[in-house]
Amino acid sequence: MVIGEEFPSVLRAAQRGDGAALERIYSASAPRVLGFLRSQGISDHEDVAGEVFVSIVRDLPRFTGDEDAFRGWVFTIAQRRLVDERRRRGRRPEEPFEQGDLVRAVGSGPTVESEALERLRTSGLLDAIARLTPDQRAVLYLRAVEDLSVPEISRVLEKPESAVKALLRRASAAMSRQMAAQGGED
Amino acid sequence: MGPDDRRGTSEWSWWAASRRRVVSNPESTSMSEGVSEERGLLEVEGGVAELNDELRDAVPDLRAAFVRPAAPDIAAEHLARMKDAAPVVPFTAAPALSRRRVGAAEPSWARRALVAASALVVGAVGVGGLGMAGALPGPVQDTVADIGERLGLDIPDSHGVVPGDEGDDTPAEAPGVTGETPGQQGETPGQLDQTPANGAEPPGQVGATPGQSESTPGQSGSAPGQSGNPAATAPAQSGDPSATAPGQSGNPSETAPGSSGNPSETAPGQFGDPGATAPVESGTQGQGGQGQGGQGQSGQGQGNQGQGQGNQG
Repeated sequence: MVIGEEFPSVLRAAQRGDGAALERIYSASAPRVLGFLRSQGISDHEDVAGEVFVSIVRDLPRFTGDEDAFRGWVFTIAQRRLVDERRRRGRRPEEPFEQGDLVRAVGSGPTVESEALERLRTSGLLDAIARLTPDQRAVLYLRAVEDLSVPEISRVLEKPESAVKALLRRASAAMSRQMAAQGGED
Repeated sequence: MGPDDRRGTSEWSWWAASRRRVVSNPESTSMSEGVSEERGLLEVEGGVAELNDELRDAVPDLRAAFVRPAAPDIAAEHLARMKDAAPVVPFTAAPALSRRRVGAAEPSWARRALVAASALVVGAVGVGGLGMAGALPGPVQDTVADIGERLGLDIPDSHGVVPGDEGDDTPAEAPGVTGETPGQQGETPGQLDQTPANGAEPPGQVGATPGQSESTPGQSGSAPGQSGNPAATAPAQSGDPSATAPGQSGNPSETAPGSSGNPSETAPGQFGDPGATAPVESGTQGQGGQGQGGQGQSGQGQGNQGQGQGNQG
């Protein structure tokens, strides 16, 4: 969802606390934030998303930029709340989680989403993603699903671009191995 | 919302520029449509090694599975939290600003007047206090002493001389003119000052002698009086009738102080002290027509000058 040309005026109104503008901001950002949190296996991703949007509203008056910049800024806040949530739970970022966590995080959606999830599951891709480390999974998701560039991902994750590229390589290689292994098992 | 979030706020201004620079085809939305190649990742990272074919083919399913809007109840809850956290900023900032300006302008006059009055009082008290203590710099102290004198305050000048005492000192010059002979006579009134009751007549008597002696030199005494202390010479210049009278012009206190103003010639022990004690005594003498003799005592230096000029005359 994109606000488009109206983004500057919507942003100014939202910065003043206008309710309608905040709703438009939320409608455009919530699916991406929730998707990112789901992909990271956060079961209570809706609660974390609520914290993310509260943080967005509080910092909104200080934001300057266009809609693309705003999208990256929202992911940055989501990533930080995600890190906070992991710390609160005591889970180490390097620790992969089981496929069940990811399936539960994705949950049961409408028919189209359920069918897509079923395809991912049967192809073994969902299990391969679940075996990635959180950083690898975040890089992969932002790159493949959100179509962010390496510099943009490095901003979101606050890591050097070289680290983002390395994470991307390892994630892709790990998924290939997983998919090959699953194919061999089948 | 932590400080980390605020730190990243301004960092996203580069976002649009970087995207415009990297993405050559904004219409492309999927990895399979060549987004990776267009964004330069394949060249950098070795192409397919970044994202395997399975993942690229699965991108639509990934989006469909993960990217979904929130449920209505969840969305309502989020929006309520957002509106609670939203800063309450009026749409028109002008009223608040204008109120602030008006509010600041109205008390400004009162504040300025109060500040000015306070500064004036503090300055006057401070300068006056320092002036009374004689702690001001020389020129300032003189000015303050002059002002204080006009106001009837005894504020010492830069030399530590109180104006009231200074007036007593000045006549010393004129007596100094009269010189040596009256100086001897000056001693007598000075001694007589010690006993005022007796002092009234003997100075007159004594003054008779100096008056005679000064009848001639009294004129010459007037000239040096000008060069000396104007206040002291005034009577002599104006031909002040009292000055011609022996008792006055011969006012032994005037002449005698001149002599007494020359402490080396007369009685240094009595008049040698130019300062405080003699003028006090002279104040008593002045009332008896002899007091100015004491004035000459404190004006020794000036008396000496007057004496020299008197000799010239």
